[in-house]
Amino acid sequence: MSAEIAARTGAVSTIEELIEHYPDEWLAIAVTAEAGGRPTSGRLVCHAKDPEEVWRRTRNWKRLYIVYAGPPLKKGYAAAF
Amino acid sequence: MKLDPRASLITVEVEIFKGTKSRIVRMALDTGATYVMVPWHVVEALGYAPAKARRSISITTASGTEIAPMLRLDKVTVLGNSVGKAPTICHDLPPQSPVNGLLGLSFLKWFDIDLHFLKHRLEFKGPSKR
Repeated sequence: MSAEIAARTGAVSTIEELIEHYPDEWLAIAVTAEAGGRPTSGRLVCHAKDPEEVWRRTRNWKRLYIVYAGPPLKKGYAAAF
Repeated sequence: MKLDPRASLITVEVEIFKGTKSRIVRMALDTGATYVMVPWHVVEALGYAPAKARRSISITTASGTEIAPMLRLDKVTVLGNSVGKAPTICHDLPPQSPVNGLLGLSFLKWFDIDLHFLKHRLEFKGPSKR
């Protein structure tokens, strides 16, 4: 069974649970609930260390939340865009 | 939404659309950016064709000046607030970047945005639809 099919029939988890379960990976999540305009729970569609792999594997989905399961910036790093 | 005053980056969930197809991504709220900025692979996954964009623009970044294609995304939504046809530049962030773009002034200018660092709150106020 592909990860995509498993995700379609899989259990719903909170976004926090998914992020805790796949540290330092990129996650594609089919959102099932939102609060205040932010996703709160969903079904995992796929996960990978490489963000472009996640984007490539989920091209045909209509709506997804794609997020990095880690801190906005790693310890010791600063942002300057 | 809750704002963590200790965070090293202010991030928000941003839903970008092409027609009825959309992706929700995490972007850095950046009042220093003129435009919304989205990486190539993100806009291409939605079905946009940045390589065929009619307009390009010179952008000044921390590492120099570059030319990037400019698109108008069908709709951009943040915390229930939407902007249609928001000018957006297509440009990649560093590979190790944990965000999928910058939420710049081409979106932010349509709202009053309150950053309450002491109250730990970020608020968007403005028209809900454009």
